[in-house]
Amino acid sequence: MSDHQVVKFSILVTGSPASHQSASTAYQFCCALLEAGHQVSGVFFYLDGVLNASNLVSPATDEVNLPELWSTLALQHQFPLEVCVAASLRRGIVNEQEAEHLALSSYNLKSPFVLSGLGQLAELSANCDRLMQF
Amino acid sequence: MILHTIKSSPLSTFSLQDCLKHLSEHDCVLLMNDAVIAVSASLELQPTLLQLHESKRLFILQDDLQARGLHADFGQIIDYAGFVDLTIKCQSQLAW
Repeated sequence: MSDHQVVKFSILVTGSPASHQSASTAYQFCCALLEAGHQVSGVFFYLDGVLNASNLVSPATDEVNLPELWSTLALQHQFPLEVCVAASLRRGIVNEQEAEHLALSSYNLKSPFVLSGLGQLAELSANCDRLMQF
Repeated sequence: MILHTIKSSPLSTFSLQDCLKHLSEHDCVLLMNDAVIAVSASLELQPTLLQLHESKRLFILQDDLQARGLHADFGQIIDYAGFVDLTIKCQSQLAW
């Protein structure tokens, strides 16, 4: 594949924003590939990676807020942020619909993250040139 | 051609050791996050890593090396742009 060709990447994130470096590495990789003129087909958050989708992450002001960075990048470059629903509910990441369904007092899924299933990961991996796991 | 990415230190997991056992002839290895210490510490794996380095198939992520104040004695240091190019050059990735 030529370097000048636009390459479509799908990204799989399995690390939490606070306890592992991998989510931050994934973010910087996305920035670099977009900078090089390639495309992100979508980012799928799985296992502890779903913690990147919390609206309640509030690090100190001189620290990086990874959920915020993902949201901004996704809105700017128009790619979806898909979050595994089973992994999310297990870790307390809930959207409005699930909160209502499970009679929970609140919800915390950050916009534009969306809850989805592993089928969506299969689709992302089928619709890209490169799938990168972090 | 597979790009094997290693993120954990060879002093805390067997990821690098296991990966090196399963490498095919043209596969590349990228050390990132805590795995970058492998090119700075004296390890039993060093002869294998040196062979990889000689065949130009060993890469180290620059930011992670610098963030830890380490110096690479061998291997090719790449930045994120180089990382992206490497993933395009290799057909697929295997994350360890």
